[in-house]
Amino acid sequence: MPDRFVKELLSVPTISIRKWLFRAVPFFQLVPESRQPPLLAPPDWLFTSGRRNRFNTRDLHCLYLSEEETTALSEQRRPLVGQDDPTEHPVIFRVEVNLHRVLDLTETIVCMALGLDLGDLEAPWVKARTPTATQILGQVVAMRSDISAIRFPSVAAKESGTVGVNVVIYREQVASPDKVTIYGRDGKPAQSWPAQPRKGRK
Amino acid sequence: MVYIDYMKTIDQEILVAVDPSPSHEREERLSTRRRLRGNAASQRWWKSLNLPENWHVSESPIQTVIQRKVAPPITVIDEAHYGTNHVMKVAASLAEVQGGSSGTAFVVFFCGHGLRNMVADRVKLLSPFPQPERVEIAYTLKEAGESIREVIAKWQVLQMRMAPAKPSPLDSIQEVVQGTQDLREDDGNLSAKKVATLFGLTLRELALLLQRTPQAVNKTPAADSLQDALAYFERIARLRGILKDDASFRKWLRIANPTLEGDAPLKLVQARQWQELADLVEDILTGSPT
Repeated sequence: MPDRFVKELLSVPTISIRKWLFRAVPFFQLVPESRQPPLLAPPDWLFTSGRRNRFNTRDLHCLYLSEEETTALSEQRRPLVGQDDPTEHPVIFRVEVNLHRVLDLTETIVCMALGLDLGDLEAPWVKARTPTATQILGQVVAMRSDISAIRFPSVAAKESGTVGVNVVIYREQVASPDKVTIYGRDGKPAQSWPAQPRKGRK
Repeated sequence: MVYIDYMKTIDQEILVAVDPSPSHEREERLSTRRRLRGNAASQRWWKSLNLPENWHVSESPIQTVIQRKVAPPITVIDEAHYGTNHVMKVAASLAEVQGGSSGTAFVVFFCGHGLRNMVADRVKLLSPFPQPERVEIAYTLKEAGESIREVIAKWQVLQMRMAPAKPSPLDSIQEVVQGTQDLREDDGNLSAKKVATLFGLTLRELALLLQRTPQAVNKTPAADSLQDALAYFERIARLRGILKDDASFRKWLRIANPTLEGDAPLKLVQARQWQELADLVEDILTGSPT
């Protein structure tokens, strides 16, 4: 486990967020209401693959969402270069989050405290063979802090000429009173984190 | 073993980094010491190693070596050509080249006496490499020869053991699996011919990527022994589920992609970074931001 960021995270300011977050799913068959016949068992909407991503190393389970629908769409479109007319239109799903300890990397002062610059936040990670600074930060946040999520600027939004924000939520860090809830089309909660309030947690 | 027979027919490269224009001082040093390339003694030395006949030794300036996107199976760096300090400096670049080759590439440093008693220097040399266990340091010609023989053997074994594609949550969704049914034969096995057509590759190109002979793949394109490797291609082909048609898929494979630092996905296919590309496709299908 790297020591980088550990000391800085003790004193860096965090924020609370209570809002709707979005994700665009292009493969409509993943949406239960779209399936004919419907799924016998609903999918795990809050499924986390544990695969590497911008703010997590392998086997660190987290969920990436966007603060704006347009950002979610930009994120979904970014890797589909050269495809002007994909046949399927993405389905946007909404997640309500109520998180009390969020690291906000859209704030310059927070980035400076952690020794991160824009280059670090936007660094490519797909082909990186050693963990990037943001992946190390995610690992330390998830393993050695009580922070449950990180807000960070969306590279995809920037490339499409707008400003957008993504949020990565670390599954094991979400403990009551924090809550992450996904709603079905009937308006009822379909799934949420944490499944059970955890005992003995600060 | 059948696979070893395949391997014998495919040319493999041992790349020795050399200095094409050494300084006068270094030229004198090189002429008086034993070296891995560049004189009659070195030619005899390579011959004495009795390497498998499909393994060939080539040489290239180190600047060219570190600019390669994909490393050959074995890169040999002769410290006599460059000096210990310079070798340290290029280690990070070599590590990047090794990393860009799905971690299957080996590096052998022939360091003379430069690092013999210095653990700290060895740590410094090895630390940039994502897989330091695939880096050998030899101090004598005898050790260098043994190291090269050993890594050839390890490389061949690792090629035989290429891990099957990791399970995906999309595997259990019927529409996803049905979407690539056209790549399968009646018995359910994936067909290399159908995969090659979809990806816009010749069967020979695909066979070489699969490290098989084109003749063998042509004869049994849906062989059981090809299924683990072809499973990666099936995962990648799932992207068609959100694209207009097969031509759109081939176009996507060949266009520079910002998610891949400007490389086209096909470049990852050619570098055998299939799991990385299959993961990217799954992220696209599930809408995971990158």
